[in-house]
Amino acid sequence: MNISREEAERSLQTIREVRAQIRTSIASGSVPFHMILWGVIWFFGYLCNHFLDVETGGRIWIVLAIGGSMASGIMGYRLGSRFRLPNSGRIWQIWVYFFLYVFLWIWVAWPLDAKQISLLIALYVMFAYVLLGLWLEPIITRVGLAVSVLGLIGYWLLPDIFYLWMAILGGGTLFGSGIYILKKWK
Amino acid sequence: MSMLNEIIHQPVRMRIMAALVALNPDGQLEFTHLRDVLSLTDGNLGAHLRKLEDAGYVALEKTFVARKPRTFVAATKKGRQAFDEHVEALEQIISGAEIEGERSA
Repeated sequence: MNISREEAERSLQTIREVRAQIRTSIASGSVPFHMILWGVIWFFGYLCNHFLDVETGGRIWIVLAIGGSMASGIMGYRLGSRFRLPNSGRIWQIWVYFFLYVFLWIWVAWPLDAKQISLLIALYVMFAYVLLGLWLEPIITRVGLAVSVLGLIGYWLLPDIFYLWMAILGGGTLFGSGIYILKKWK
Repeated sequence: MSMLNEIIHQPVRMRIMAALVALNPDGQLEFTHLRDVLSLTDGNLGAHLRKLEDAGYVALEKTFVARKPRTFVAATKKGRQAFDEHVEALEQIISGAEIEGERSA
């Protein structure tokens, strides 16, 4: 079997493209869908914090967090079932330990006011995005850093509109990045 | 010197093998996901998978996930080896052509 150099080059290029496509589809998994979901949750949650009293806002956040976690779990299960990879269970373990430590850190740092809790949780989640991005895709790291900086700016410089700031910029960045990744990786 | 593999060199089968070899050993891809990633039809993908399976290059596993039938596909050890040799042969053609070009220059 003989082929020309050009055909060999084209074949290798095709192989490289398919490999990259598969790796991206594994790496991306359900990440953009989680970003869109949590972007919407952040938007409504922080919006409630801004317009409603602390207690009602807190209750709504609990409902949103439980609903969002369940939706995330279902989404992760459905989209993750496209592959069977050795050791894929470790990713779940990482998230379980991460949230356990978030709870412990907040418990140790208690008492905190509502704004501090909001900022801390946002920073912890974005810290996870930064690490995840280093492992998977740089865009996830950039989103994590951008939302962290926005959160800190809002907390220190704009305390009166902190929740509104987080709703529009934090939620919006997550939502927009999810859409962007979905289109880019398609 | 590695030889080109006629079964793998067919464009669709080469893309299938490239996708499966991109996974870690023991990794499996779901049939419908493979179909979507490679933009193939069920029939087309199925026919080429049969050919690769007959050669012992891929293994198919039919199972149930959440009560729905699913087929998972994986490259076998023999398939990975054949694919690596095919890629090596392609690289040798390119490097050989470069040497030829240098000689004639």
